[in-house]
Amino acid sequence: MLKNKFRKYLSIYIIQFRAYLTHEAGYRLSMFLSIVGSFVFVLYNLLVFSFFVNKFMFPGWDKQDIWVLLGTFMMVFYSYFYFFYKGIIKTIRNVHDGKFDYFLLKPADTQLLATILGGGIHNFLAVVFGIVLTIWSMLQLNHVVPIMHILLGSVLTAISAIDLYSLLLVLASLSFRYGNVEDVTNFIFSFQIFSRYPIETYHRLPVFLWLVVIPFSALTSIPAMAFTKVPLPLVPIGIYVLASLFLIAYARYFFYKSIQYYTSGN
Amino acid sequence: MKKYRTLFVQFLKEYFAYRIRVILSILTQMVTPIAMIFVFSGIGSTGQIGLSQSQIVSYFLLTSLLYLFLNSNIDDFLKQLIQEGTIVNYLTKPLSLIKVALIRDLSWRIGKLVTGLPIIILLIVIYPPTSQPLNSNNPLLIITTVIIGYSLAFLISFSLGVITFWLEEVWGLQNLKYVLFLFLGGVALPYQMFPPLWQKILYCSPFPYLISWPLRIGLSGNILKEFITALLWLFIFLWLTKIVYRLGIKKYSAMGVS
Repeated sequence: MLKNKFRKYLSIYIIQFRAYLTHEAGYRLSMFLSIVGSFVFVLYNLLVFSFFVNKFMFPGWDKQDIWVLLGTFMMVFYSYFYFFYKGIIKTIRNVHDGKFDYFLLKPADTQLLATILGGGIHNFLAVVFGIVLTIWSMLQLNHVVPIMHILLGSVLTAISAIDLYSLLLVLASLSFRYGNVEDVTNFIFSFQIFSRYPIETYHRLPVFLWLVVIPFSALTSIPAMAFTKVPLPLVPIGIYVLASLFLIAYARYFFYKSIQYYTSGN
Repeated sequence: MKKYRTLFVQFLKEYFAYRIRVILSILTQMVTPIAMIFVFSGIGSTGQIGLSQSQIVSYFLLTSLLYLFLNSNIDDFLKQLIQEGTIVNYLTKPLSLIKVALIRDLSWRIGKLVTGLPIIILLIVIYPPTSQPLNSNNPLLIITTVIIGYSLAFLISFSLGVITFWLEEVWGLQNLKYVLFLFLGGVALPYQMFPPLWQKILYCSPFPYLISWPLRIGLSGNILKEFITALLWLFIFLWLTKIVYRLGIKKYSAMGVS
């Protein structure tokens, strides 16, 4: 039964992705410029990082560890952009415009149907670039990373992308009650800048800021620790996994709880 | 003049119509410089780039303020007008679209400054700067650089917005502009962090003269050369904007417009 469900949602995803590709391919120059625009961000992250790493050291992290962190950042955030970003924004707009009925009336899981749209070849390419950068940086480390660490790091990276999606799903769900929350979502999402630097960087912050900044930094620092640190820091990783599971479950609960506030435009 | 004054007031009212949206937009723009304050506070000594911790905090606080006023989003306005077809409202009236865009840009930038200033003041109270990062204390020089930076940002954004006459989506180019302003404009990192060769090449481009120039007048070693380069780019973009705009208007077609 699980296999059938997986096939069903995979085919829905493929259909939606094909529709997106067909639309994008109709305007090839725009598509090309979108890819260039997206890669400019990748280049920007690389350059800022390289300037930093050439001048400064981050407490508890070597130069190569930092490059693994950047690769992890790209994998997490561009995975989110590739799979979830469009869906989240469209959900907010559909709810605001009263067009969400389309998703409620379909015989499929509303959350998956509405929020996992996928798209952006440029985002997919950026994920691939992130994977290549992470692997290349891991090969430059002073020690050999055990296979179990690599597997754990990969799982934690996927969990981080889903955590980001869950957080933004909770924010998007507020649109059922409060209208257009796109600006709130964009504001919270801008905190992604904190994910570019290791968690230890923020140790001097006041507690009230720490509580906001640390979760974002953990999205990339925890998986990067799995890729680079021997021995593994099990306590932070354990806490992170438990917190993630809670967030993912809560996001789904909150989304479905919020739907009852929806009023159709029809 | 009266019609443009009326438009200015109207645009300002439009800006403040959705206050929460305005505040969130300001806060979103300020996250990058503020985050950099946190990061630099965490890495300890910053003497390698010739700036103290306090100067770096001051730099990013002032850059946040300058970014609010010197960053132009007129490309968004033009993109919306062209895609929705509402540009016809301005083309069929006795108004110059460039002047309308200028008024609209000025009104929104003033709005952003007014909204953002209390937040900056709050940050200054939380992170009191004990030294100033300005390379030059001459007020006339600083005002001139602000005017040139303002104009250059407007012209670049206007040219970008007008490209919507040809392209269905200019999101990619807008992204490019955003990153260039942020990175090469000195908002994300102070210029002292760039390698010397980078700095040399950059000073020949228009980007150093966009946002953070008032903070580092003369950092290249030659103030006169900086002003000549900035003015040269200003005239280049003025000429480019006029040409792109004329070509765009010729290309544009809509119901009832010949």
